[in-house]
Amino acid sequence: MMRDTARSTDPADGGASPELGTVTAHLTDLRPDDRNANAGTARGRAMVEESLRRYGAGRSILVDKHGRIIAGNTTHEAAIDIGLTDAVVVKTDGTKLVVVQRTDLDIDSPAGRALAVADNRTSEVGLSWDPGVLAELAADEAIDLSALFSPVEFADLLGSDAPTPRFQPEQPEHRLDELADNTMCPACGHTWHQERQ
Amino acid sequence: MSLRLDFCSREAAAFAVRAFHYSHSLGAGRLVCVGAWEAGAFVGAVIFGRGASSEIGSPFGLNQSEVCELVRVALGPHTAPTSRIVSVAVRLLRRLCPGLRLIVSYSDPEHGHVGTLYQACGWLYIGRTNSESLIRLNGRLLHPRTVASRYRTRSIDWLREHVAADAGHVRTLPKHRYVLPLDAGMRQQLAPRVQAYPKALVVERDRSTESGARRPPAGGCSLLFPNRAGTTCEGTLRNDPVAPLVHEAAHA
Repeated sequence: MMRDTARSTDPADGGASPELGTVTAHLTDLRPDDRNANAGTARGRAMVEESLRRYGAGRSILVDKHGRIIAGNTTHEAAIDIGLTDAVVVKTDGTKLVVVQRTDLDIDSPAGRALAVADNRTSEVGLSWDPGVLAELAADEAIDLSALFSPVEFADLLGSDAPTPRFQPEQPEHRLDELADNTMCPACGHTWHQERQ
Repeated sequence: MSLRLDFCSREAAAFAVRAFHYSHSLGAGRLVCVGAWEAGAFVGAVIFGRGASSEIGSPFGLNQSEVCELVRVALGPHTAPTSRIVSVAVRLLRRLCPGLRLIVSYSDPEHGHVGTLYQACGWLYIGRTNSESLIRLNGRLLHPRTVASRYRTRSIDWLREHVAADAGHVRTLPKHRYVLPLDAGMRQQLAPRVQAYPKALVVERDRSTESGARRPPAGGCSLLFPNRAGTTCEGTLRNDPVAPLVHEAAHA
């Protein structure tokens, strides 16, 4: 159960605002996503745990209005496993960026720099798309993933389960019975002029 | 179901290859991509290119602008016969590139293929290529040129130490080579080289070799590569790309 405890939008002065309500919640009150398209990896999960132990909590996770996790399932799980119990919940409608400020950290400190790298690296290593879930989401016409995956990227991940785009006929770019007049080196731009056979 | 074939974008062809073809790779260089649509829905592509070697025409006395390779037939679920799709794609290619005299394609026994599609389309079988030595890295087989370009070396010792413990040479089975002559002169020139079609055969992994190369079962290769005295379909062929349809009908 989430409990209202304070209202503050400016971490520097502690000012109050009705738009951004801050409450606390038990981590166990937040529910994992049962259709998470990221299956995760054991190594990524271990890295998140290690990062939480060494540097404490960094970036926030994201939950919906019912407390179901949209992003940060692994972090949530790892946080519980290392013994964290409570979360600060910032209620927002998405019109303002939620900034987590670590008052104990300086980015130029070794811990600050390491946390910056850990944040990116744990995401990278911990990503393993679940083809079944992703295919299901990709097939749902109400969910637009077109800005996130090109058709070829979908095909790479999902094979024949990839949604087939509505490709249209197009004029060919080349002929195969003609040799190019010149060829350009993609690295240095040098152009060779070629004699036609 | 209505079938339409027309030229398509490289992106559409890339999608088809990644989604529907076992190789999952399209290759580089100039391509002519023919898409297939059934009931308005894209079902895949037939892709022609210059091939991996610039010498592709040499064995036939042709220059690079007279020969091309059918590099991929990447089709998802469809109802029209694949041989019909390929035959119409060849017609479109020929209309676009009237200077072409020959199309070459290969069928890979490593994947259990003997070229049934080319046989159904009436292409000519002209025997096998030389076997290739590929390099295995992390369970994948790569061409030595790809390895050299990626790591600047082909040294197995170096690759074992720095890239993958399983690095090693793998000798592959020779590929079946099929050709489709596009004019009478070319067909006449190829006639002495034509062999009987190989037959489909189950091959098994040879566990006695380090490479894990496949071998035909006991009895050798005589069934797989019959000599010219065996049955042949040459007599039903014609001198233009319409011939495959005639050939196909003859066997229906």
